[in-house]
Amino acid sequence: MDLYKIVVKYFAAEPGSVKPGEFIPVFHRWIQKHAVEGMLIDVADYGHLPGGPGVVLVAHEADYFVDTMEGPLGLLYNRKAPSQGRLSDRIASAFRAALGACVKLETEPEFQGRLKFRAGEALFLSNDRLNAPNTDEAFQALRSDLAAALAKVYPSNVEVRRVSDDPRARLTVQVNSREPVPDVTTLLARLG
Amino acid sequence: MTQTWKERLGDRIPADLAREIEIFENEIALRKQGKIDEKVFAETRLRRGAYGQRYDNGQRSDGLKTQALTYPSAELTKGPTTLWDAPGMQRIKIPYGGLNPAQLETLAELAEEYSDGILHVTTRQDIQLHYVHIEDTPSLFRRLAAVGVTTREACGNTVRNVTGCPIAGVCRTETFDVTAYARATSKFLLGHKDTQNFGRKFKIAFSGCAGEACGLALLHDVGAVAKVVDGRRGFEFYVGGGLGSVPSQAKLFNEFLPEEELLPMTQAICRVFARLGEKKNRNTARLKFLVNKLGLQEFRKLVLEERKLLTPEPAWTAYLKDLRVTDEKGLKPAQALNGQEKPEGFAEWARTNVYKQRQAGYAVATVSLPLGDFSSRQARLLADVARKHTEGTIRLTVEQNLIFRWVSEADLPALYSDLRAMGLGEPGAGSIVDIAACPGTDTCKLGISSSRGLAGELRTRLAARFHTMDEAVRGLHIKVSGCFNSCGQHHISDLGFYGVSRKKGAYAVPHFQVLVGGQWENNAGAYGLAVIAVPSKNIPEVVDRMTTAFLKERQKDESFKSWIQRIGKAKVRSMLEDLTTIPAHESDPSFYSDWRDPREYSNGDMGIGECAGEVVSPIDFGLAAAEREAFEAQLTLDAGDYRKAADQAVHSMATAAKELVLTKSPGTEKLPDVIREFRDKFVEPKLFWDPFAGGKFAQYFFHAVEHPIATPTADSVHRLVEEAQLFIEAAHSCRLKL
Repeated sequence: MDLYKIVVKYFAAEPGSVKPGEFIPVFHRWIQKHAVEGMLIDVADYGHLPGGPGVVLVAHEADYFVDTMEGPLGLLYNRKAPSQGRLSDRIASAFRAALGACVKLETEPEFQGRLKFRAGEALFLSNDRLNAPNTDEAFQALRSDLAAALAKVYPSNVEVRRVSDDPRARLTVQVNSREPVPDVTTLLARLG
Repeated sequence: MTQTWKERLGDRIPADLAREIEIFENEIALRKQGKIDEKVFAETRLRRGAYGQRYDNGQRSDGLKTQALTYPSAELTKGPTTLWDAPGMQRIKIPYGGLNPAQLETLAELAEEYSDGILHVTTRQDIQLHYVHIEDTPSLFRRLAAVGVTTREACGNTVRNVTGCPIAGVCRTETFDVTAYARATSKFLLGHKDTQNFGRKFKIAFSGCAGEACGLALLHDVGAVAKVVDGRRGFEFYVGGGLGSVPSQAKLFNEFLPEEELLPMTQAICRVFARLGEKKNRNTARLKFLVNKLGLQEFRKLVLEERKLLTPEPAWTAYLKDLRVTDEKGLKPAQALNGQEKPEGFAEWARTNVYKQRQAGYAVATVSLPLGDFSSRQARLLADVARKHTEGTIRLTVEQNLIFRWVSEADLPALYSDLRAMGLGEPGAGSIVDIAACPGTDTCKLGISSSRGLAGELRTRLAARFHTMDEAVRGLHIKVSGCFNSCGQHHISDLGFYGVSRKKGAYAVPHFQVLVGGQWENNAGAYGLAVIAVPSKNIPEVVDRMTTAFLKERQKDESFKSWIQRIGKAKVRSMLEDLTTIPAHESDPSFYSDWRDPREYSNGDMGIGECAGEVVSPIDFGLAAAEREAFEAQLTLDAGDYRKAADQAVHSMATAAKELVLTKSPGTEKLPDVIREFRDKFVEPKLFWDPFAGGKFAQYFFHAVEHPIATPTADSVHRLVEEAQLFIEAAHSCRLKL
C-alpha cells in the first residue's frame, strides 16, 4: 500500500490541565532551536475553534498539532511528505516522531509537570482517502503493516479497532495496549 | 497498482475542467524542468487560485534572528522569490457563496489531506485553505471539479469570485432574487476571451436592494443592485468601486440597466478595461483608476461604443428563460416557532442569528464562524445539518459566516442544538463580536500586524460581556486588516483597524491605525479615515473607550457614524492620544510582540537592536509632525474646506519626504530639492519601496506636487488625504530600514 500520509495521536492524561494557547510559545521556541526533526516553518493558532486543530507547528515534512478535533486534547503528528521504506517502517517512523514530540513536551518548563500523555492509548489515521479510505477493506489491507509497527511500540499485546464506518471520515484506528505502559519515554526507547 | 485521483474520478470531472487541470499539471512539470519562466508560471498558478504565503521567500524571523528555510527543492521557484516547496494558500471560488453538502464534504476532505484541517471563509465568499503544496493542487482541483467547483480565476488578473447577497430570494426588502444573475455572470465570464488580458483583478457583486449591506455592491469594480422599472427587471449599475489602499466609491453607470443587457454590458466594460486599463503599473491598474482617469462620462461613452460592436452571444439571454434554476424551497413545511421547549441559550442566539424570511414560517439561521474559520469535522457536521433541515443548500457570507436558508421555524431549536454540539452555537452574528479579519501576519505575505490575533482578542473580550452590552454597542461593526490593502474591509465598519508599525528606540512595535466614519449599511455607503495609530496591545482599550463614550454621549437614536461626525475627529483623536505611548521594552516587553504571537515583533527581517536607547531622533519627531498635518487635513476636509484640506494633505507628504531626505542630505529644505533628493536617494534605489506596492506611495507624493488638484471636491480630497496617510505610513516603513 502506497501510504505515507500517516497520522498518530497521543492523548493528554488530563486534557483540562493545559490549554492549547500555552503551546504557542513552546512551538515558537522549538523553531528557534530546531528542537524536533524536520524543517520547521511556523505556528498556526486555531485555539478559537472549539474541537478544532488547536495549535499547529507547521513543518515541511510533517505538522505537529495540539489537537482537539480527533478526540480530547493530545499531540497529533501528521506526516505530509513521502517517506522511505516499507509501510510498517513508515508507520513506526510516525509513531517515533509523535512520541518524540510527546516526550519533549512533557519536559517543557511551561507545563511544570502538568502535561503527561497516556502511553497505553493512541490513534492511527490514514490521511489519504485514495490509498486508504475509511473502509473495512482498506483497514484489513494495512492491518499487518500496522501490527508490525505496533509490535515495536507495544511488543506484548495490543488491541486495534476501527473507530467509525462513516465513509467521509479518515480511516481511524484506536490502539490500546492490553497491559499497562509506564510512559511515553518508555515507548520511545523501544523504537530506538 | 496505485490509482491516481485522475483515474479514480475519471468522467465525473467535466471535460473542460479536466483539460484545464491537465494543462496546469503539465505546466507544473515544465516549470520543474525549467521550461516555463517563473513569472509566467506565477500568473498561471494564480489564475488557478494557488497563491503565495508568508515566508515563501525562504526566510522567517523567529523572534531572535532571521532563519533560512531550506526546502528540498532549494533552487526551484514557483514565482519570483517564491520557493517551490514553500506552503501556499489555495483560494476556491464559491460563486455567490452557494454550496451544497457534497461540496462542503469535499472541501473538508481537502482541508484534512492537503491543508491543516481548517476552512477559512473570506470576505468575498471564497474558501481558502492554507499550507498547501503546489504539487498537491492538481489532485485538489480534480476532487473539487468532480463536485462542480473550480478554482479557475480565483486569483490573478481575472474576474474574481462573483459575490451576491446571501439572503437573496428570501430577503424581506429585496426587489428581486439576484442569485440567477450572479450565477449567469460567473459562468459567462469564466474563461471568457474578453477577460483574459486585464492589468489587474476585476470584482463583481450583486445586491437585491440598495439599503442593506449584504451585497456590498458599491465597493466593487462592477456592482449591480436589483431594480424594477415599469414592471421590467434590471439593475442600478455601478462601476469603478473598490477598497484596497485608497478606496473608491463606485459611480453610477446606468440608473437602469435592463436584465438582458447585464451580460453584454459587463462584457463591454471588460473589453474597455482590457484595452485601456493600466498594464505596467499594477498600483493604478484597477478599473477605478481608469474610470477616474477618463471621467465617468467618457468611460461610459467608450463602453457604449464597445457594446455596439459586440457580436451577440446566446449566453447573454439564455439564462433568462430559466431564472428559477437557483430557486430553493423548504425541506419541511413552514411552521412557526410556537410553544415548544427551547434549549438553553436559544433565545439569545435566535435574537442575533435568526432572520425571518419573507416566506412565512421559514427562517435563515446564521452560523457565526470565529474569524471565518471552521474545521473539517465541523464542515461534515454542517453538511449533515444542511441535509437535515434544508434541501441541501448553504451560503457563505461576506461577513465570513455560513447560513442555512429555508429552515422551518419550528426546526430552529433542533438546529441550534446541533450547532451547539459542534461548538458553533455562539450568538452575535452581524454584531460587534462578529469581527471580520483578513489573514494578516498569520499567513499573508503583506501583513504588517496580526489582524486575526487582534480580532480574536477583541472577540473574546467582547463576547464575555455581550449579554450585558447595550443594544447600540452590540450593533456596531468592527473590521480588521493586517495592512493597508483592506482585505478585512476596514474602511466600511464603525471601527476599523489596519496594521502598521512604529519604531521605539531600536525596536519595531506593532500598531494599528484606527479608522472611524465608515458605514456598513447601504451597500457600504461611506468609507472611514484613519485618525490615529495606536500600539496593537492598546487597541482593546480603544474599543472600550470609544464604545463607552458613544453610549454616554449619543443623542437619542444617533448612529455611531453620526456621533463621530458630531463630536469631530479631533475629539476622537484626543480621546485616544495617551494610548499611543509605548512603554519601554524593559518595563513591558509585551508591547513588542503581537497578539497570539510571542515572537519579538519585526517588520521584515529586521533584527533586534543591541542598544534599546530611548533617545527620540529628529526623524521620529518629523514623521509625527507629518502625521499630525495629515490628520489636520482630514479635519479641514470634514469642515468642508476642500482647497485648504488638499494643501494640508500635500504638505504633510512633503514634510514626511523632507524628514527622510534630511537623514541623507542634511540641510535640504526647499521643496524642489526635497523632491529631487527624495527621488534620487530613496525612490530610485528602492529604499522607499513596498514589497507589494512597489513605488506606488512615492508616486502619490510626486503626483500631488506635480499635478495639484485644480478643482478640489469631497471625493478627490478624501482620496488625497488617504494617499497622504499611506505615504506617511510608507515613510515610517522606510524609516525602519534606515
